[in-house]
Amino acid sequence: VIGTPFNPETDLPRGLTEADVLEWVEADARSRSAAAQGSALHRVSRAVAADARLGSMLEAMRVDRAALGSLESPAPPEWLAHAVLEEHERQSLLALSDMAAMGRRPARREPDEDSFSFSAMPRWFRPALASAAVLVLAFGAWQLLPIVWPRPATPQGPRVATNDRASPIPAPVEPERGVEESPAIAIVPPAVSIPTPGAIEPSAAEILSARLEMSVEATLELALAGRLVVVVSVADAHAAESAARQVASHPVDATWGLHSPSEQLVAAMATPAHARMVGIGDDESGVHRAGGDGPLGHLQIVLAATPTVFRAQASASPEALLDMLDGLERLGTSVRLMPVEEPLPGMGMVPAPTGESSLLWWEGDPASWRPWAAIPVQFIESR
Amino acid sequence: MDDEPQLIERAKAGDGAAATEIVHRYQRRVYALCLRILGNPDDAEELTQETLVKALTGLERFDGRAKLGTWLYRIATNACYTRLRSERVRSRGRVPWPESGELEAASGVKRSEAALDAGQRQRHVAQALDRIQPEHRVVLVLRDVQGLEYEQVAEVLGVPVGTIKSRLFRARLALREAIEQLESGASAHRGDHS
Repeated sequence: VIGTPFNPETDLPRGLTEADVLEWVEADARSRSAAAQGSALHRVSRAVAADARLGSMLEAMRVDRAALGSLESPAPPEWLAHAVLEEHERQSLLALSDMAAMGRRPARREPDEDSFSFSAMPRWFRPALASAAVLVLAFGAWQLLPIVWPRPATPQGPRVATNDRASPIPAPVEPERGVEESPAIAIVPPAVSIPTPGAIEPSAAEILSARLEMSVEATLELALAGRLVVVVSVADAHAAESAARQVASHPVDATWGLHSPSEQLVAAMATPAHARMVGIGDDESGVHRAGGDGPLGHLQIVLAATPTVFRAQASASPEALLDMLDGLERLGTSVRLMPVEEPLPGMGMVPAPTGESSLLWWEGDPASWRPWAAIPVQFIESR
Repeated sequence: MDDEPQLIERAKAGDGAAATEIVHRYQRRVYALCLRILGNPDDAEELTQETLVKALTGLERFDGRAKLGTWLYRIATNACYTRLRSERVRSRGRVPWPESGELEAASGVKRSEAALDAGQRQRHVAQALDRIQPEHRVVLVLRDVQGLEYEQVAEVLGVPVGTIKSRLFRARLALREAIEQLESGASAHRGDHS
Protein backbone atom coordinates (compact mmCIF):
# COMPACT_ATOMS: atom_id res chain seq x y z
CA VAL A 1 0.00 0.00 0.00
CA ILE A 2 1.33 3.39 -0.90
CA GLY A 3 1.59 5.71 2.07
CA THR A 4 2.95 8.76 0.31
CA PRO A 5 2.46 9.17 -3.44
CA PHE A 6 5.04 7.26 -5.45
CA ASN A 7 7.27 9.54 -7.46
CA PRO A 8 8.85 7.77 -10.44
CA GLU A 9 11.58 10.40 -10.65
CA THR A 10 12.91 9.66 -7.18
CA ASP A 11 11.33 6.42 -5.96
CA LEU A 12 12.28 4.05 -8.77
CA PRO A 13 15.31 1.93 -7.87
CA ARG A 14 18.53 3.03 -9.53
CA GLY A 15 18.97 1.65 -13.03
CA LEU A 16 15.29 0.92 -13.61
CA THR A 17 13.12 2.93 -15.94
CA GLU A 18 9.37 3.38 -16.11
CA ALA A 19 9.37 1.20 -19.22
CA ASP A 20 11.18 -1.62 -17.35
CA VAL A 21 8.67 -1.55 -14.52
CA LEU A 22 5.78 -1.35 -16.95
CA GLU A 23 7.08 -4.43 -18.79
CA TRP A 24 7.22 -6.30 -15.47
CA VAL A 25 3.67 -5.32 -14.57
CA GLU A 26 2.35 -6.49 -17.93
CA ALA A 27 4.41 -9.70 -18.16
CA ASP A 28 2.92 -13.02 -17.12
CA ALA A 29 4.38 -15.07 -14.29
CA ARG A 30 6.13 -17.51 -16.64
CA SER A 31 7.95 -14.73 -18.53
CA ARG A 32 9.06 -13.17 -15.26
CA SER A 33 10.42 -16.42 -13.85
CA ALA A 34 12.12 -17.31 -17.14
CA ALA A 35 13.70 -13.86 -17.56
CA ALA A 36 17.36 -13.98 -18.50
CA GLN A 37 19.98 -12.77 -16.05
CA GLY A 38 20.55 -9.05 -16.52
CA SER A 39 17.35 -8.49 -18.50
CA ALA A 40 14.97 -5.73 -17.47
CA LEU A 41 12.44 -8.25 -16.15
CA HIS A 42 15.09 -9.91 -14.04
CA ARG A 43 16.34 -6.62 -12.63
CA VAL A 44 12.82 -5.54 -11.69
CA SER A 45 12.16 -8.92 -10.04
CA ARG A 46 15.29 -8.43 -7.93
CA ALA A 47 14.24 -4.90 -7.00
CA VAL A 48 10.77 -6.14 -6.05
CA ALA A 49 12.26 -8.82 -3.85
CA ALA A 50 14.41 -6.22 -2.10
CA ASP A 51 11.78 -3.49 -1.71
CA ALA A 52 8.46 -4.56 -0.17
CA ARG A 53 6.77 -1.21 -0.89
CA LEU A 54 7.67 -1.40 -4.58
CA GLY A 55 6.65 -5.06 -4.67
CA SER A 56 3.19 -4.47 -3.22
CA MET A 57 2.59 -1.53 -5.50
CA LEU A 58 3.55 -3.37 -8.68
CA GLU A 59 1.57 -6.43 -7.64
CA ALA A 60 -1.47 -4.20 -7.08
CA MET A 61 -0.94 -2.67 -10.51
CA ARG A 62 -1.07 -6.17 -12.02
CA VAL A 63 -4.39 -6.79 -10.29
CA ASP A 64 -5.72 -3.42 -11.50
CA ARG A 65 -4.72 -4.28 -15.06
CA ALA A 66 -6.52 -7.62 -14.86
CA ALA A 67 -9.62 -5.92 -13.45
CA LEU A 68 -9.58 -3.33 -16.25
CA GLY A 69 -9.28 -6.10 -18.82
CA SER A 70 -12.27 -7.91 -17.35
CA LEU A 71 -14.60 -4.89 -17.41
CA GLU A 72 -17.58 -5.75 -19.51
CA SER A 73 -17.90 -4.16 -22.92
CA PRO A 74 -21.42 -2.74 -23.09
CA ALA A 75 -23.28 -3.00 -26.38
CA PRO A 76 -24.49 0.16 -28.09
CA PRO A 77 -28.24 0.63 -28.48
CA GLU A 78 -29.76 -1.14 -31.44
CA TRP A 79 -30.85 2.04 -33.19
CA LEU A 80 -27.28 3.36 -33.41
CA ALA A 81 -26.18 1.50 -36.56
CA HIS A 82 -29.35 2.56 -38.36
CA ALA A 83 -28.85 6.18 -37.30
CA VAL A 84 -25.23 6.13 -38.52
CA LEU A 85 -26.13 4.75 -41.93
CA GLU A 86 -29.03 7.17 -42.31
CA GLU A 87 -26.84 10.16 -41.46
CA HIS A 88 -24.10 8.93 -43.79
CA GLU A 89 -26.63 8.64 -46.61
CA ARG A 90 -27.97 12.12 -45.89
CA GLN A 91 -24.49 13.65 -45.98
CA SER A 92 -23.61 11.80 -49.17
CA LEU A 93 -26.75 13.12 -50.82
CA LEU A 94 -25.98 16.65 -49.64
CA ALA A 95 -22.50 16.40 -51.11
CA LEU A 96 -23.87 15.05 -54.39
CA SER A 97 -26.46 17.80 -54.53
CA ASP A 98 -23.77 20.39 -53.94
CA MET A 99 -21.53 18.95 -56.63
CA ALA A 100 -24.40 18.79 -59.06
CA ALA A 101 -25.41 22.36 -58.28
CA MET A 102 -21.86 23.63 -58.81
CA GLY A 103 -21.53 21.70 -62.04
CA ARG A 104 -24.77 22.97 -63.56
CA ARG A 105 -24.56 26.60 -62.63
CA PRO A 106 -22.35 27.89 -65.45
CA ALA A 107 -24.34 26.07 -68.13
CA ARG A 108 -27.78 27.13 -66.93
CA ARG A 109 -27.16 30.78 -66.25
CA GLU A 110 -27.13 33.44 -68.86
CA PRO A 111 -24.52 36.14 -68.35
CA ASP A 112 -26.33 38.75 -66.33
CA GLU A 113 -24.44 41.36 -64.41
CA ASP A 114 -27.41 42.17 -62.20
CA SER A 115 -27.55 38.66 -60.82
CA PHE A 116 -23.82 38.56 -60.08
CA SER A 117 -23.21 36.08 -57.26
CA PHE A 118 -19.87 35.76 -55.59
CA SER A 119 -20.86 32.47 -53.98
CA ALA A 120 -21.56 30.97 -57.39
CA MET A 121 -17.88 31.20 -58.27
CA PRO A 122 -15.54 28.30 -57.66
CA ARG A 123 -13.95 28.57 -54.25
CA TRP A 124 -10.41 28.78 -55.64
CA PHE A 125 -11.40 31.79 -57.72
CA ARG A 126 -12.28 33.99 -54.74
CA PRO A 127 -8.75 34.63 -53.42
CA ALA A 128 -7.60 35.15 -57.01
CA LEU A 129 -10.33 37.73 -57.53
CA ALA A 130 -9.45 39.39 -54.23
CA SER A 131 -5.79 39.61 -55.27
CA ALA A 132 -6.80 41.05 -58.64
CA ALA A 133 -9.00 43.62 -56.91
CA VAL A 134 -6.12 44.68 -54.70
CA LEU A 135 -3.83 45.03 -57.72
CA VAL A 136 -6.41 47.13 -59.54
CA LEU A 137 -6.88 49.28 -56.44
CA ALA A 138 -3.15 49.83 -56.08
CA PHE A 139 -2.81 50.60 -59.77
CA GLY A 140 -5.70 53.04 -59.68
CA ALA A 141 -4.27 54.79 -56.63
CA TRP A 142 -0.91 55.05 -58.39
CA GLN A 143 -2.57 56.65 -61.38
CA LEU A 144 -4.40 59.18 -59.20
CA LEU A 145 -1.23 60.14 -57.38
CA PRO A 146 0.09 62.63 -60.02
CA ILE A 147 -3.28 64.38 -60.01
CA VAL A 148 -3.49 64.72 -56.24
CA TRP A 149 0.20 65.38 -55.76
CA PRO A 150 1.79 66.68 -58.99
CA ARG A 151 5.39 65.63 -59.38
CA PRO A 152 7.92 68.45 -60.08
CA ALA A 153 9.33 68.36 -63.57
CA THR A 154 12.74 66.76 -63.78
CA PRO A 155 15.50 68.27 -65.88
CA GLN A 156 16.06 64.92 -67.60
CA GLY A 157 12.59 64.92 -69.08
CA PRO A 158 10.60 61.75 -69.49
CA ARG A 159 12.51 58.55 -68.83
CA VAL A 160 12.15 55.19 -70.41
CA ALA A 161 10.56 52.62 -68.14
CA THR A 162 13.05 49.95 -67.16
CA ASN A 163 13.25 47.10 -64.68
CA ASP A 164 16.40 48.62 -63.23
CA ARG A 165 15.89 48.68 -59.46
CA ALA A 166 18.61 51.31 -59.12
CA SER A 167 16.47 53.77 -61.03
CA PRO A 168 15.42 56.28 -58.35
CA ILE A 169 12.21 57.47 -59.96
CA PRO A 170 9.87 55.02 -61.63
CA ALA A 171 8.98 56.16 -65.08
CA PRO A 172 5.37 57.04 -65.73
CA VAL A 173 3.43 54.30 -67.41
CA GLU A 174 0.76 55.06 -69.93
CA PRO A 175 -2.52 54.01 -68.36
CA GLU A 176 -4.49 51.49 -70.30
CA ARG A 177 -7.76 52.69 -71.63
CA GLY A 178 -10.51 52.14 -69.11
CA VAL A 179 -8.34 51.16 -66.21
CA GLU A 180 -8.90 54.45 -64.48
CA GLU A 181 -12.59 53.73 -64.52
CA SER A 182 -12.32 50.77 -62.23
CA PRO A 183 -14.95 51.28 -59.57
CA ALA A 184 -15.24 47.50 -59.33
CA ILE A 185 -12.69 47.67 -56.56
CA ALA A 186 -15.21 49.46 -54.41
CA ILE A 187 -17.94 46.91 -54.79
CA VAL A 188 -16.01 43.72 -54.29
CA PRO A 189 -18.29 41.53 -52.24
CA PRO A 190 -17.07 40.14 -48.93
CA ALA A 191 -15.61 36.63 -48.73
CA VAL A 192 -18.78 35.26 -47.23
CA SER A 193 -20.89 32.71 -49.04
CA ILE A 194 -24.25 34.20 -49.88
CA PRO A 195 -26.80 31.41 -49.98
CA THR A 196 -28.36 30.99 -53.39
CA PRO A 197 -32.13 30.68 -53.16
CA GLY A 198 -33.32 27.21 -53.95
CA ALA A 199 -29.94 25.55 -53.63
CA ILE A 200 -28.83 23.64 -50.53
CA GLU A 201 -25.25 24.64 -49.90
CA PRO A 202 -23.40 23.12 -46.95
CA SER A 203 -21.41 25.62 -44.92
CA ALA A 204 -17.61 25.63 -44.86
CA ALA A 205 -17.79 24.02 -41.43
CA GLU A 206 -19.92 21.18 -42.80
CA ILE A 207 -17.65 20.61 -45.78
CA LEU A 208 -14.62 20.75 -43.54
CA SER A 209 -16.18 18.45 -40.99
CA ALA A 210 -16.61 15.79 -43.66
CA ARG A 211 -12.97 16.12 -44.66
CA LEU A 212 -11.40 16.08 -41.21
CA GLU A 213 -10.67 13.20 -38.89
CA MET A 214 -11.42 15.42 -35.90
CA SER A 215 -14.01 18.06 -35.28
CA VAL A 216 -13.64 21.51 -36.81
CA GLU A 217 -13.68 23.02 -33.34
CA ALA A 218 -10.85 20.76 -32.17
CA THR A 219 -8.84 21.47 -35.31
CA LEU A 220 -9.08 25.22 -34.83
CA GLU A 221 -8.26 24.85 -31.16
CA LEU A 222 -5.15 22.82 -32.00
CA ALA A 223 -4.14 25.39 -34.62
CA LEU A 224 -4.42 28.24 -32.11
CA ALA A 225 -2.44 26.19 -29.59
CA GLY A 226 0.37 25.64 -32.11
CA ARG A 227 -0.26 21.90 -32.05
CA LEU A 228 -1.45 21.37 -35.61
CA VAL A 229 0.74 20.40 -38.57
CA VAL A 230 -0.39 20.32 -42.18
CA VAL A 231 1.33 17.53 -44.10
CA VAL A 232 1.21 17.84 -47.89
CA SER A 233 2.16 14.74 -49.85
CA VAL A 234 3.86 15.68 -53.11
CA ALA A 235 5.27 13.74 -56.04
CA ASP A 236 8.30 16.00 -56.37
CA ALA A 237 9.48 17.87 -53.29
CA HIS A 238 11.62 20.36 -55.24
CA ALA A 239 8.82 21.30 -57.60
CA ALA A 240 6.40 21.64 -54.69
CA GLU A 241 8.88 23.80 -52.77
CA SER A 242 9.33 26.11 -55.69
CA ALA A 243 5.55 26.36 -56.18
CA ALA A 244 5.13 27.04 -52.47
CA ARG A 245 7.79 29.77 -52.64
CA GLN A 246 5.81 31.43 -55.40
CA VAL A 247 2.72 31.36 -53.20
CA ALA A 248 4.78 32.67 -50.29
CA SER A 249 6.09 35.56 -52.37
CA HIS A 250 2.58 36.99 -52.49
CA PRO A 251 1.26 38.94 -49.54
CA VAL A 252 -1.22 37.32 -47.19
CA ASP A 253 -4.65 37.52 -48.77
CA ALA A 254 -8.01 37.69 -47.12
CA THR A 255 -7.90 34.35 -45.38
CA TRP A 256 -4.47 32.73 -45.46
CA GLY A 257 -0.93 32.93 -46.79
CA LEU A 258 2.42 31.12 -46.76
CA HIS A 259 5.66 32.37 -45.24
CA SER A 260 9.19 31.13 -44.72
CA PRO A 261 9.64 29.17 -41.50
CA SER A 262 11.90 30.10 -38.60
CA GLU A 263 15.04 28.07 -37.91
CA GLN A 264 13.53 26.86 -34.63
CA LEU A 265 10.49 25.50 -36.43
CA VAL A 266 12.61 23.67 -39.02
CA ALA A 267 14.74 22.21 -36.22
CA ALA A 268 11.66 21.08 -34.31
CA MET A 269 10.26 19.37 -37.38
CA ALA A 270 13.54 17.68 -38.26
CA THR A 271 13.43 15.39 -35.24
CA PRO A 272 13.05 11.65 -35.87
CA ALA A 273 9.95 11.58 -33.67
CA HIS A 274 8.29 14.13 -35.89
CA ALA A 275 9.42 12.34 -39.05
CA ARG A 276 7.85 9.13 -37.81
CA MET A 277 4.70 10.94 -36.84
CA VAL A 278 4.09 12.43 -40.26
CA GLY A 279 4.51 9.01 -41.74
CA ILE A 280 7.95 9.08 -43.27
CA GLY A 281 10.21 6.27 -42.21
CA ASP A 282 13.76 6.80 -41.07
CA ASP A 283 15.23 5.79 -44.40
CA GLU A 284 12.87 7.79 -46.55
CA SER A 285 13.19 10.96 -44.52
CA GLY A 286 16.95 10.91 -44.48
CA VAL A 287 16.96 10.47 -40.74
CA HIS A 288 19.84 8.26 -39.72
CA ARG A 289 20.49 6.98 -36.27
CA ALA A 290 23.44 5.27 -34.75
CA GLY A 291 23.72 4.19 -31.19
CA GLY A 292 24.34 1.47 -28.70
CA ASP A 293 25.75 0.77 -25.31
CA GLY A 294 29.20 2.29 -25.40
CA PRO A 295 31.36 3.82 -22.73
CA LEU A 296 28.94 6.74 -22.48
CA GLY A 297 25.94 4.49 -21.97
CA HIS A 298 23.12 4.51 -24.46
CA LEU A 299 24.25 7.12 -26.93
CA GLN A 300 22.09 8.00 -29.88
CA ILE A 301 23.25 10.14 -32.75
CA VAL A 302 20.63 11.63 -34.97
CA LEU A 303 21.25 13.08 -38.39
CA ALA A 304 18.22 14.48 -40.09
CA ALA A 305 17.76 16.05 -43.47
CA THR A 306 16.25 19.53 -43.44
CA PRO A 307 12.52 19.10 -44.00
CA THR A 308 10.65 21.20 -46.51
CA VAL A 309 8.65 23.36 -44.17
CA PHE A 310 6.62 26.54 -44.60
CA ARG A 311 4.62 28.58 -42.16
CA ALA A 312 1.02 29.20 -43.07
CA GLN A 313 -0.93 31.98 -41.44
CA ALA A 314 -4.67 31.69 -41.54
CA SER A 315 -7.69 33.14 -39.89
CA ALA A 316 -8.95 30.61 -37.33
CA SER A 317 -12.23 30.03 -39.12
CA PRO A 318 -13.67 27.06 -41.02
CA GLU A 319 -13.75 29.16 -44.21
CA ALA A 320 -10.07 30.07 -43.99
CA LEU A 321 -9.06 26.54 -43.10
CA LEU A 322 -10.99 25.20 -46.06
CA ASP A 323 -9.42 27.77 -48.38
CA MET A 324 -5.98 26.85 -47.08
CA LEU A 325 -6.56 23.11 -47.56
CA ASP A 326 -7.88 23.72 -51.08
CA GLY A 327 -4.88 25.89 -51.89
CA LEU A 328 -2.38 23.42 -50.52
CA GLU A 329 -4.07 20.51 -52.27
CA ARG A 330 -3.25 22.20 -55.55
CA LEU A 331 0.44 22.01 -54.62
CA GLY A 332 0.42 18.31 -53.78
CA THR A 333 -1.46 15.08 -54.08
CA SER A 334 -3.06 15.00 -50.65
CA VAL A 335 -3.21 17.06 -47.48
CA ARG A 336 -3.45 15.74 -43.93
CA LEU A 337 -3.86 17.55 -40.63
CA MET A 338 -1.93 16.09 -37.74
CA PRO A 339 -2.06 17.04 -34.08
CA VAL A 340 1.25 17.09 -32.23
CA GLU A 341 1.86 16.58 -28.54
CA GLU A 342 3.70 19.81 -27.76
CA PRO A 343 3.24 23.30 -29.25
CA LEU A 344 5.76 23.96 -32.01
CA PRO A 345 7.99 27.02 -31.63
CA GLY A 346 6.44 30.25 -32.84
CA MET A 347 3.24 28.50 -33.93
CA GLY A 348 -0.25 29.15 -32.64
CA MET A 349 -2.13 32.39 -32.22
CA VAL A 350 -0.60 35.32 -34.10
CA PRO A 351 -1.75 38.90 -34.71
CA ALA A 352 -4.01 39.27 -37.72
CA PRO A 353 -2.31 40.89 -40.71
CA THR A 354 -3.14 44.54 -41.21
CA GLY A 355 -2.32 44.84 -44.90
CA GLU A 356 -4.69 46.58 -47.24
CA SER A 357 -5.76 43.25 -48.73
CA SER A 358 -7.13 42.13 -45.42
CA LEU A 359 -8.57 45.57 -44.64
CA LEU A 360 -10.85 45.08 -47.61
CA TRP A 361 -12.49 42.19 -45.85
CA TRP A 362 -12.83 43.59 -42.38
CA GLU A 363 -16.39 43.98 -41.39
CA GLY A 364 -18.54 43.83 -38.29
CA ASP A 365 -17.62 44.60 -34.75
CA PRO A 366 -13.92 44.10 -33.89
CA ALA A 367 -15.03 41.75 -31.10
CA SER A 368 -16.28 39.38 -33.77
CA TRP A 369 -12.95 39.27 -35.63
CA ARG A 370 -11.36 35.87 -35.66
CA PRO A 371 -7.86 35.32 -34.28
CA TRP A 372 -5.20 34.14 -36.68
CA ALA A 373 -3.00 31.11 -36.30
CA ALA A 374 0.46 30.22 -37.58
CA ILE A 375 0.46 26.61 -38.76
CA PRO A 376 3.48 24.68 -40.03
CA VAL A 377 3.12 23.12 -43.47
CA GLN A 378 5.44 20.22 -44.23
CA PHE A 379 5.89 18.81 -47.71
CA ILE A 380 6.78 15.15 -47.89
CA GLU A 381 7.56 13.18 -50.99
CA SER A 382 5.24 10.23 -51.46
CA ARG A 383 6.71 7.36 -53.39
CA MET B 1 -10.59 -9.27 -40.64
CA ASP B 2 -8.62 -10.51 -43.68
CA ASP B 3 -11.32 -9.14 -45.92
CA GLU B 4 -10.93 -5.62 -44.52
CA PRO B 5 -9.10 -4.08 -47.52
CA GLN B 6 -11.76 -5.40 -49.90
CA LEU B 7 -14.48 -4.22 -47.56
CA ILE B 8 -13.00 -0.72 -47.48
CA GLU B 9 -12.63 -0.60 -51.26
CA ARG B 10 -16.25 -1.67 -51.67
CA ALA B 11 -17.43 0.97 -49.20
CA LYS B 12 -15.35 3.61 -51.01
CA ALA B 13 -17.06 2.61 -54.24
CA GLY B 14 -20.43 3.31 -52.63
CA ASP B 15 -21.45 -0.24 -51.72
CA GLY B 16 -24.05 0.23 -48.98
CA ALA B 17 -23.71 -3.34 -47.72
CA ALA B 18 -19.99 -2.79 -47.13
CA ALA B 19 -20.69 0.41 -45.18
CA THR B 20 -23.26 -1.45 -43.09
CA GLU B 21 -20.74 -4.23 -42.41
CA ILE B 22 -18.12 -1.70 -41.26
CA VAL B 23 -20.61 -0.09 -38.89
CA HIS B 24 -21.70 -3.42 -37.41
CA ARG B 25 -18.13 -4.60 -37.10
CA TYR B 26 -16.82 -1.58 -35.24
CA GLN B 27 -19.72 0.12 -33.46
CA ARG B 28 -19.38 -1.93 -30.28
CA ARG B 29 -15.68 -1.22 -29.86
CA VAL B 30 -16.05 2.48 -30.61
CA TYR B 31 -19.00 2.75 -28.25
CA ALA B 32 -17.13 0.97 -25.44
CA LEU B 33 -14.15 3.28 -25.94
CA CYS B 34 -16.31 6.42 -25.83
CA LEU B 35 -18.27 5.16 -22.84
CA ARG B 36 -15.18 4.33 -20.79
CA ILE B 37 -13.58 7.68 -21.61
CA LEU B 38 -16.66 9.87 -21.16
CA GLY B 39 -18.53 7.82 -18.55
CA ASN B 40 -21.87 8.89 -19.94
CA PRO B 41 -24.02 6.70 -22.25
CA ASP B 42 -25.69 9.68 -23.95
CA ASP B 43 -22.38 11.25 -24.89
CA ALA B 44 -20.97 7.87 -25.89
CA GLU B 45 -23.88 7.20 -28.25
CA GLU B 46 -23.58 10.64 -29.79
CA LEU B 47 -19.84 10.41 -30.34
CA THR B 48 -19.99 6.84 -31.63
CA GLN B 49 -22.45 8.03 -34.22
CA GLU B 50 -20.30 11.07 -35.06
CA THR B 51 -17.17 8.92 -35.36
CA LEU B 52 -18.69 6.33 -37.66
CA VAL B 53 -20.37 8.94 -39.88
CA LYS B 54 -17.10 10.87 -40.16
CA ALA B 55 -15.21 7.70 -40.99
CA LEU B 56 -17.67 6.59 -43.68
CA THR B 57 -17.85 10.07 -45.19
CA GLY B 58 -14.08 10.47 -45.15
CA LEU B 59 -13.25 6.89 -46.12
CA GLU B 60 -11.89 8.17 -49.44
CA ARG B 61 -8.97 9.67 -47.54
CA PHE B 62 -8.20 6.49 -45.60
CA ASP B 63 -5.00 5.26 -47.24
CA GLY B 64 -4.81 1.89 -45.50
CA ARG B 65 -1.47 2.52 -43.82
CA ALA B 66 -3.06 1.98 -40.41
CA LYS B 67 -5.75 -0.53 -39.58
CA LEU B 68 -9.29 0.72 -39.96
CA GLY B 69 -9.89 0.08 -36.26
CA THR B 70 -6.90 2.22 -35.30
CA TRP B 71 -8.14 5.02 -37.53
CA LEU B 72 -11.60 4.82 -35.98
CA TYR B 73 -10.12 4.86 -32.48
CA ARG B 74 -8.17 7.96 -33.44
CA ILE B 75 -11.25 9.78 -34.66
CA ALA B 76 -13.22 8.68 -31.59
CA THR B 77 -10.47 9.66 -29.15
CA ASN B 78 -10.14 13.11 -30.67
CA ALA B 79 -13.90 13.55 -30.50
CA CYS B 80 -13.87 12.47 -26.85
CA TYR B 81 -11.09 14.94 -25.99
CA THR B 82 -13.08 17.72 -27.60
CA ARG B 83 -16.20 16.71 -25.72
CA LEU B 84 -14.35 16.49 -22.41
CA ARG B 85 -13.18 20.05 -22.85
CA SER B 86 -16.65 21.34 -23.58
CA GLU B 87 -18.99 22.79 -21.01
CA ARG B 88 -21.66 20.32 -21.97
CA VAL B 89 -20.05 17.17 -20.62
CA ARG B 90 -18.95 18.96 -17.49
CA SER B 91 -22.49 20.00 -16.76
CA ARG B 92 -23.97 16.66 -17.78
CA GLY B 93 -21.43 14.78 -15.68
CA ARG B 94 -20.52 11.14 -15.54
CA VAL B 95 -22.97 8.44 -14.68
CA PRO B 96 -21.77 7.06 -11.33
CA TRP B 97 -20.93 3.42 -10.95
CA PRO B 98 -23.16 1.57 -8.48
CA GLU B 99 -21.81 1.37 -4.95
CA SER B 100 -20.79 -1.93 -3.42
CA GLY B 101 -23.85 -3.96 -2.45
CA GLU B 102 -26.32 -2.02 -4.60
CA LEU B 103 -26.12 -4.48 -7.49
CA GLU B 104 -26.45 -7.42 -5.15
CA ALA B 105 -29.45 -5.91 -3.44
CA ALA B 106 -31.02 -5.17 -6.81
CA SER B 107 -30.51 -8.71 -8.13
CA GLY B 108 -31.49 -10.39 -4.87
CA VAL B 109 -28.81 -13.05 -5.42
CA LYS B 110 -26.25 -13.72 -2.72
CA ARG B 111 -22.85 -14.21 -4.33
CA SER B 112 -19.79 -16.05 -3.09
CA GLU B 113 -17.09 -14.13 -1.21
CA ALA B 114 -14.59 -14.51 -4.07
CA ALA B 115 -17.08 -13.34 -6.66
CA LEU B 116 -17.99 -10.45 -4.39
CA ASP B 117 -14.31 -9.50 -4.11
CA ALA B 118 -13.83 -9.64 -7.87
CA GLY B 119 -17.00 -7.66 -8.43
CA GLN B 120 -16.00 -5.07 -5.87
CA ARG B 121 -12.54 -4.76 -7.41
CA GLN B 122 -14.10 -4.20 -10.82
CA ARG B 123 -16.37 -1.50 -9.42
CA HIS B 124 -13.48 0.20 -7.68
CA VAL B 125 -11.39 0.08 -10.84
CA ALA B 126 -14.24 1.49 -12.91
CA GLN B 127 -14.93 4.24 -10.37
CA ALA B 128 -11.24 5.07 -10.07
CA LEU B 129 -10.99 5.26 -13.85
CA ASP B 130 -13.59 8.02 -13.74
CA ARG B 131 -11.56 9.96 -11.19
CA ILE B 132 -8.20 10.16 -12.94
CA GLN B 133 -7.15 12.69 -15.58
CA PRO B 134 -8.59 12.12 -19.07
CA GLU B 135 -5.09 11.78 -20.53
CA HIS B 136 -4.38 8.88 -18.16
CA ARG B 137 -7.83 7.38 -18.59
CA VAL B 138 -7.55 7.32 -22.38
CA VAL B 139 -4.24 5.49 -22.42
CA LEU B 140 -5.45 2.90 -19.87
CA VAL B 141 -8.66 2.28 -21.78
CA LEU B 142 -6.83 1.84 -25.08
CA ARG B 143 -4.23 -0.49 -23.63
CA ASP B 144 -6.03 -2.51 -20.96
CA VAL B 145 -9.71 -2.36 -21.86
CA GLN B 146 -9.40 -2.36 -25.65
CA GLY B 147 -6.21 -4.43 -25.64
CA LEU B 148 -4.24 -2.38 -28.18
CA GLU B 149 -0.49 -2.86 -28.67
CA TYR B 150 1.82 0.01 -27.70
CA GLU B 151 2.38 0.85 -31.37
CA GLN B 152 -1.35 1.06 -32.00
CA VAL B 153 -1.90 3.26 -28.95
CA ALA B 154 0.93 5.50 -30.18
CA GLU B 155 -0.70 5.68 -33.59
CA VAL B 156 -4.11 6.53 -32.13
CA LEU B 157 -2.74 9.29 -29.92
CA GLY B 158 -0.13 10.51 -32.41
CA VAL B 159 2.79 10.32 -29.99
CA PRO B 160 5.92 8.12 -29.88
CA VAL B 161 5.85 4.71 -28.20
CA GLY B 162 8.27 5.91 -25.50
CA THR B 163 5.84 8.63 -24.50
CA ILE B 164 3.03 6.08 -24.36
CA LYS B 165 5.02 3.82 -22.01
CA SER B 166 5.83 6.68 -19.69
CA ARG B 167 2.26 7.96 -19.75
CA LEU B 168 0.91 4.46 -19.15
CA PHE B 169 3.10 3.91 -16.11
CA ARG B 170 1.99 7.21 -14.61
CA ALA B 171 -1.62 6.35 -15.44
CA ARG B 172 -1.26 3.07 -13.53
CA LEU B 173 0.13 5.01 -10.57
CA ALA B 174 -2.74 7.49 -10.70
CA LEU B 175 -5.28 4.69 -10.93
CA ARG B 176 -3.67 2.92 -7.97
CA GLU B 177 -3.89 6.04 -5.84
CA ALA B 178 -7.52 6.57 -6.80
CA ILE B 179 -8.37 2.95 -5.94
CA GLU B 180 -6.64 3.24 -2.58
CA GLN B 181 -8.66 6.33 -1.78
CA LEU B 182 -11.86 4.48 -2.67
CA GLU B 183 -10.85 1.44 -0.64
CA SER B 184 -9.94 3.50 2.41
CA GLY B 185 -13.27 5.31 2.11
CA ALA B 186 -15.13 1.99 1.85
CA SER B 187 -13.39 0.49 4.88
CA ALA B 188 -14.10 3.62 6.92
CA HIS B 189 -17.75 3.30 5.86
CA ARG B 190 -17.85 -0.35 6.99
CA GLY B 191 -16.18 0.65 10.27
CA ASP B 192 -18.95 3.14 10.94
CA HIS B 193 -21.61 0.46 10.49
CA SER B 194 -19.94 -2.27 12.60
